[in-house]
Amino acid sequence: MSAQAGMRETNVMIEPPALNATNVLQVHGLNLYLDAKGRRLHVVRSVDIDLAASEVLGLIGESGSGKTMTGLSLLRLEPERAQITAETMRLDDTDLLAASQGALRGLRGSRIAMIFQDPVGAFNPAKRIGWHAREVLRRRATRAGPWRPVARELLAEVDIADADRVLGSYPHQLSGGMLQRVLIALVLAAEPQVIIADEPTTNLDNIVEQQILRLFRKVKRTHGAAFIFITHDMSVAAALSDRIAVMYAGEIVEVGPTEAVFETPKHPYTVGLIRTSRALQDGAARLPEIAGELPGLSGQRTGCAFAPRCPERMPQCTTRTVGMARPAPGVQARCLLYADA
Amino acid sequence: MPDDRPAAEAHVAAPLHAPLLVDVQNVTVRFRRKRTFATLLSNTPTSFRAVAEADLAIARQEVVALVGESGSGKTTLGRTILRLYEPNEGVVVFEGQDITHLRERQLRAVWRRMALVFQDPLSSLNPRHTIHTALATPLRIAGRAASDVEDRVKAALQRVGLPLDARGRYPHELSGGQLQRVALARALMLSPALVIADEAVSKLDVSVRSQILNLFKDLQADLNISFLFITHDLHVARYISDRVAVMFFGRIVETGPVRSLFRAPRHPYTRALLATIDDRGEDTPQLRRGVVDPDAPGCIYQAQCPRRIARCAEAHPPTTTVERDHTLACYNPG
Repeated sequence: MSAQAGMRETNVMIEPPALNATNVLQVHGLNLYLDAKGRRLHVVRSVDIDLAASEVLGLIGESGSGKTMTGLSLLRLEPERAQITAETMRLDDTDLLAASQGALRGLRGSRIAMIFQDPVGAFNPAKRIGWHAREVLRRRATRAGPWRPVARELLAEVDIADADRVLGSYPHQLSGGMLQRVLIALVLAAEPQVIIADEPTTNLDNIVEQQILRLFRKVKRTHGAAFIFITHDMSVAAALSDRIAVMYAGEIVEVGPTEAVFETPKHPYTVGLIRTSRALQDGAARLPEIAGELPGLSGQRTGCAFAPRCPERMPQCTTRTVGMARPAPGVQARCLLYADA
Repeated sequence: MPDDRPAAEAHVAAPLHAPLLVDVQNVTVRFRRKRTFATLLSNTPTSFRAVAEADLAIARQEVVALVGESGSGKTTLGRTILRLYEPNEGVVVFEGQDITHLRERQLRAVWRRMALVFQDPLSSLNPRHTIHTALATPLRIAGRAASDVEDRVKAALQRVGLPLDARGRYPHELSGGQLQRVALARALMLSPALVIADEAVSKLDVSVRSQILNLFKDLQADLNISFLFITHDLHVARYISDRVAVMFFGRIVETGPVRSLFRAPRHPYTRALLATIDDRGEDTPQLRRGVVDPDAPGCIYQAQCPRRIARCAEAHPPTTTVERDHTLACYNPG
């Protein structure tokens, strides 16, 4: 469900990503451990992410699946009590694991940026929006000059018509949807290569959410940035992403082109998620359930994490290590059903 | 309890003319604003009207969904029905009794017939009380015998699909879905006639949410309770309810049976809201982004309405019945 056809004209045209474009972000074997009250939680487990330039990857998962921790790790903003290991973790030509704090500070915002669920937290409550805009523009390498016209332009891009009023407002004077727009504008202003958006529409009302989604689709076309869209909402992911990665209990269990994942999901967990969300959307008389609860994250795991809840469970699912299988072109699923395919 | 009951379909909506459980008539709720130097200077009104002239009826055994965006007053209206707030104007009738201005002492008997389920079950349960204590407390307060309490707690856990050993656990030991089951069990302890669920599934994960929604549906069918389901999620409203009431800035702009309302919404706001679930992110008609002034005369939706006519600026349209059980407050409906 990509979003090219029949949309309005935009000011900048970006070439669609070539099929084998070099990846701006390469992550292999990312693990994140968290120390919690004497227990060591294995929160992110051997996650691989390859993100092509200007690609949108939807990272879907329930709470505790590790999607937010994965996102934070990519900016090296993981909590202090967390340890990260990875085989590879590169943004373009920069090794994110080896980079110094100073180097990372230089990267954040300008080459890799994050949009959070709660836009209020991204602003200084004591400063007007104009101050924030000036801060961002000051860091941009372009020439110094009057910042206000540039800021107006930025806000116009996110469909804010009364830019001067907004620039003169304090964060608390703007609605959540408006603040999220401003934040998106400021993040885009620095022209980062990768933008990680963590549930950016979850706190918004339906109508505003739809407006922000439309805005994301627009900037996806006008800017060359690659996006990782972290969400628990299947329909949001479907509306925006080129590719989908589904996380469960710290692992990516399925990854593939959006249409393939939604039309012919392979992993039983993905199948269950999509069936139950679709039933709710289509007004079914009864929702199919995924029985059971999410597993804990502590300690070693033998076999598949989803096995206790899986309707397709086989004896070997609880004893064997389950690797990624390739059930279809471009699709990977961590499931023994496809192990020999 | 019949387990072979065909799911969901078997439940027939009680028509509105059946005996009403709740009858909210022309209710207005105002909150006083904090008075500061700034409010004095800027001449802001001293009160804020959270609910304006609302009419809402809930029949026995009926499930009504109250939908609207954040700040639309749906939680306030729900709490006014529970008489946690006293309305400034209007009447709240519960089981035939006018409870609008009852004192707390008199309300206690009424409150045994109502229950509330919150969005966040963890914060609505005492972290230092076991699940058993949480479930037994309402019974103890109601003066039930100790032997009776034991059996009822067991029955309640079974009814919501929790193992009996959950009794000795503390809230932090349970998952979000399990906690919401506990909250629901607690709400049902005194066999209430009305349960108000305020965004009770919106914090739950997809896979768990389906379980809890199905549980709500089963309980409603088995126990013949009325539900007021407060939600911003239109899909949830459609799944769970017989009738939907749509709120915008404190006013109920449209109510109707779930099927006909979703098939043919009349109020421009309902139409805009429903357009968001047809296909996310597709180009639906752009909404006007006028700023709503709840104190201005005229229709509450006029600043954002694409169908505004001259009359809309004069007074808020009266609520009229356009079809059986379908009410509307609009001069120029679609």
